Amino acid sequence: MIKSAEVENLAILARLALDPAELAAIAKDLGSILDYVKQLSEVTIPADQPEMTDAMAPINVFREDVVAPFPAVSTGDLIVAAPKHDEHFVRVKKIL
Amino acid sequence: MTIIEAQKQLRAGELTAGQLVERCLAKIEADNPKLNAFLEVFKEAREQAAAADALIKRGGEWPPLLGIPLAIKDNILIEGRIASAASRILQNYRASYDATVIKKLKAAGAILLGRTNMDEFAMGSSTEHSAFGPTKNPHDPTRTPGGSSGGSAAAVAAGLALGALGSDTGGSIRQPASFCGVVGLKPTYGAVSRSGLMAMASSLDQIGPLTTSVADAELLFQTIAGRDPLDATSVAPPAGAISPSPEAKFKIGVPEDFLVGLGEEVLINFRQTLARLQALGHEIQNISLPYLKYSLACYYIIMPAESSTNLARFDGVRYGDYQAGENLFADYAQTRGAGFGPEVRRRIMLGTYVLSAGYYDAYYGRAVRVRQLIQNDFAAAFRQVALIALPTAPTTAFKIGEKVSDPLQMYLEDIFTVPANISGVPALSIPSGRDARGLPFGFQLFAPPFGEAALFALGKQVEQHDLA
Repeated sequence: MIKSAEVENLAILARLALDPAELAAIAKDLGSILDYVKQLSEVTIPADQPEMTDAMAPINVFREDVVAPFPAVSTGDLIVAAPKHDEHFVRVKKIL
Repeated sequence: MTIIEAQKQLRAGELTAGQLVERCLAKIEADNPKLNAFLEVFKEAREQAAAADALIKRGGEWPPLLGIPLAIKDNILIEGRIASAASRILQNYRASYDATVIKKLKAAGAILLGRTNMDEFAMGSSTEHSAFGPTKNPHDPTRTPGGSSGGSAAAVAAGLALGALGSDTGGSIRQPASFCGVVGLKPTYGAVSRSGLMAMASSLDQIGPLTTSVADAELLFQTIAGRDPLDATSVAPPAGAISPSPEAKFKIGVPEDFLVGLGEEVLINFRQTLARLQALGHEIQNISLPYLKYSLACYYIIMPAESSTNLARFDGVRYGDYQAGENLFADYAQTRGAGFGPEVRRRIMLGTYVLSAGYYDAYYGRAVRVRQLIQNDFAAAFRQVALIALPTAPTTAFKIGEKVSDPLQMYLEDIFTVPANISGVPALSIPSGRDARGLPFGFQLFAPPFGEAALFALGKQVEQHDLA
């Protein structure tokens, strides 16, 4: 069972403004989904499995450290897509 | 009409690209209002058709998909076009570049008819979670077409396009293909570039074709596949692979102990297809993949986790809808709270939970390790058999509204499809008859990584001998 304080904290982490009714509904849904997925705890991981921290095989793909312009897009194209912008910048509220 | 038939008629001069596109546009105008398969139709399709006809008239070499009208799922970027992932948060977003698969389709001369409806940010198995209304199943408009590529599947099934692209993270191409009676392919992870596909779960997503024939799926796959410097997870297929002959006989593995929780009619249909294959000379063998049953649990940890990370970028700052708050945090929270639909909010919360401090190891960390065991299971199985068969979905198309209020019931729809995404192997869904209500069944084949050729070879045999 997920407590309401926990769900409120999750909403903060997720940057989601949710009303109390939805928070309660999500707490319930998360409870039943987590009940389902917790079956993974019954799996015995073989001792010889290498340590893994993410879902992908640990192979890095490199390229030369050379600036390769992305020809299709200009900076201007990207800036005009921002909801708040002026000629050369994306505008945001102050952070500090 | 299949793509290959259309190509024959175009070459023979029996049909022009203009006529082909007009037919699709007329059908869309007549049928799309009730199906809601397309969110937007691109009027430029007529100009593209005229250009294609001019090229055809000039003679000489043809790009392989010249004049062929295709539909594109709303999460694949087409430069200058709105791409909304069926979400309010991107309802006015215009793509600033072409996805690599779109570049390839354009170079191949294909005509892009429009963008198709989907579950919002690909989160769903019914297309009911679109912010722009559900898509209806062409076989029965009271039922869902499946999801999340429901618009693409319905468009192809209803003849509104000759083929379509979708994306598949846990079955989102194959399950709607099954529900709509069309062919759907999830390629090997890495076979097709994800550059320009709005990322859902980066270790699971693949773009793939939905078509009315296996040969068409093969053609579209070959057009869009290939290593792409813009997608570091894309891989060139290993050199020297031998394509099986069209009459090749395969040893097909069936994980019998995994055939639980499915509809009675689905199971009977599946066994009938296996019996037909056996009669054709294929060998059917019971195999055991001990960790396969944990695939769905792995998926519903890994996918929300990766999605919650990928959807963090939608915050009203660089693109999309924006809701002003008192401060920057409130900007984010209100923009996202208002712009994302309920299923997206639910999965982001689930993903945030399984990645949060104190739970990361128990959930995400564990899921990643069990995933490796499932991959090992597949690798071991493919040392004994050439292909693996399962039904595509545990049910045929369910009614609109039937599962939408019970997330876990909806998630269980993915039980037979997620193993392919979890393990990275390719999988094909082929139409396999109809149930008592006339709703399509799907027969699913899995192959080893880069084994698409075997899928197509056996798929064509299933198609040719279909008793539907």
